[in-house]
Amino acid sequence: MEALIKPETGLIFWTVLIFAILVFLLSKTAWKPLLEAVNAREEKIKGDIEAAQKARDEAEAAKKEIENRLKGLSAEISSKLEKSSREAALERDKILEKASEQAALILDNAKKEIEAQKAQAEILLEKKVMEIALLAGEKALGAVIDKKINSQLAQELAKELSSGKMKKVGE
Amino acid sequence: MELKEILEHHIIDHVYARFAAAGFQIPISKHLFMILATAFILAAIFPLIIRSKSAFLSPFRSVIEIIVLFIRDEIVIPNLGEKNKGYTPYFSTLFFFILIMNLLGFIPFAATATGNIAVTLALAFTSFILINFAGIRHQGIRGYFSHMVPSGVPAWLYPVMLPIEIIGLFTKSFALAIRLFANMIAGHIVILVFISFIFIFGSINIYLGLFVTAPVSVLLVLFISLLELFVAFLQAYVFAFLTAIFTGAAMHPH
Repeated sequence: MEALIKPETGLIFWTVLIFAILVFLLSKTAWKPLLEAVNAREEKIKGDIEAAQKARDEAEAAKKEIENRLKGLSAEISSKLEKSSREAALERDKILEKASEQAALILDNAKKEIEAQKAQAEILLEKKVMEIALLAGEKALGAVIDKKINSQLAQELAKELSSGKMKKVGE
Repeated sequence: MELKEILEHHIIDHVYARFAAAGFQIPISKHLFMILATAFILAAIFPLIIRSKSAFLSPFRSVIEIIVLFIRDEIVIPNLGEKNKGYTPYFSTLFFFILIMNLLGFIPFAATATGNIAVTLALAFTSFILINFAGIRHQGIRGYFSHMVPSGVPAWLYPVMLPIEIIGLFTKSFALAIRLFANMIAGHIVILVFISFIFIFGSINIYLGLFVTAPVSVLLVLFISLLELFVAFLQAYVFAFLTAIFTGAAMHPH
């Protein structure tokens, strides 16, 4: 049984030789391609992750920009709306003012005209009444009253008319 | 037949021939053939699996890749440092060399080469060379030997510490050899003993051996075999891991 724990020197030699050859051989033929493939894959994964991260960052930046621009746009729109409504109100007020001014002018003119027409009509009416009075007087008195007294009477009547009695009648 | 003879037959190497070269007796033995079979698997089949693009071989490729990455990320880098991951091929070879020698012992009529003290001593010798080589390479000869004794030790302890450290250098590697050898041989001895129980009890009473001892023994042998399968992986890992720890310690003095 002592062969169990008595090392065979020759086998030590074989093992060391074979192991050394294997280390050199496998380093070149097996582990090198394997580790190269693994490294390439790891690099690729790292690159992919970086690219994805970059793309995400870019997308986020673009989104932020769009949001900012949108916010600016809405502010602009609301300010423009406000301005135009303010202008419209101003314009409306102006137009209204002008219209009321014109209406006042027209009214004024009409009043003046009415006044003038009225004055004319009064004069005309006065004349007609005077004529009628004269005619009536002439008819009533006939030739009894001489023409002197007659015209005196007529004049008095005319005076009375013009001083206000006619006006009372006219009103 | 004695149990001793059976054990010797199954565990100890069979030397078929010897030839003398440079004063040494170089043997041709069963364990040598097992080592050569391992070398063939590693040198011929592994590159084939790794380089092949076929879908059939890709699971094998994945298994090898996972183990190599484990060796790189869990054994080499934590112990030797990130910039020394160039040692990964060495440790991968070491791990697979031991693992396949361990596993070949499961094939009927084959033998476990790592159950031979000469083989494990040779592996420990390569680890010893690696530890010292890496230490000298990274610290220089003077730096390596001046850091043999850990810094911070009082000067008067040096005469005691220096011999201990030098002896420790050898015992560390020797312990590697004994650990692997004992682990691999123990399972085989236990299996053989359980199988022998059948015949021992059978010689007392044939029915006792056949109907009582045989089922129990077979179940126990099955259990020990599965344990051995685990131990085959575990010891390959332990050997590579301890070598990495010792190499790392030799590289980075504390």
